[in-house]
Amino acid sequence: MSAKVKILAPITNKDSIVDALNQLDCVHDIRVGIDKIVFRIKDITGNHTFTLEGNQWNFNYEDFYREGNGEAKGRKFLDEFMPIYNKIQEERHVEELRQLVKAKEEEITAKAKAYNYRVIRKEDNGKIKLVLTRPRIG
Amino acid sequence: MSEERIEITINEDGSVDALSKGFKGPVCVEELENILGKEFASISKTDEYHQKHIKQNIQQVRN
Repeated sequence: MSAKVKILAPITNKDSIVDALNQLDCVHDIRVGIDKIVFRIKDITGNHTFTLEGNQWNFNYEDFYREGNGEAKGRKFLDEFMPIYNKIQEERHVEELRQLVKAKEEEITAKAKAYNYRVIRKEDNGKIKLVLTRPRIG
Repeated sequence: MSEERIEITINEDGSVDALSKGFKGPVCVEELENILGKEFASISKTDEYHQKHIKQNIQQVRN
């Protein structure tokens, strides 16, 4: 039996992104998770949240059109915020990213050993590959 | 001896891809959760996984 999973990248420069969002009048209800920033834009009603997961934005552009006045508000937000966000990402700290990857590797290795796996580590073009094996019982 | 195997790739941006092999039934997902947590962005199971579940369900109906 087998299964394949994917876990998103953690958000780097999270504090800078939240600071930038806080400075915009149109943004409210900002919630921050480990790999997610969720917020709302004023005057866009309903349950329309705007999400940054990993390094991917999740905007539903159709919501802007459906909301009438919300379209202008949504576009105003994008016009104001995206240049700031792009600048933040250009300044992304390589060291921060390296530390995140290292911490992830250490966490996975520790858990694997706790579950009695043998861990083989390889590096391939900047990616870290961990192969966990243990004999099947029964 | 057959083995249980999990192949994990930690990408440069910190995202993680993982594949489990050689487990019996839904344990293959549970083991990934044990090692990686439960915050999966996506999860896919093989045809083999589904076939096993169909067989199990048929068996349960018969019993």
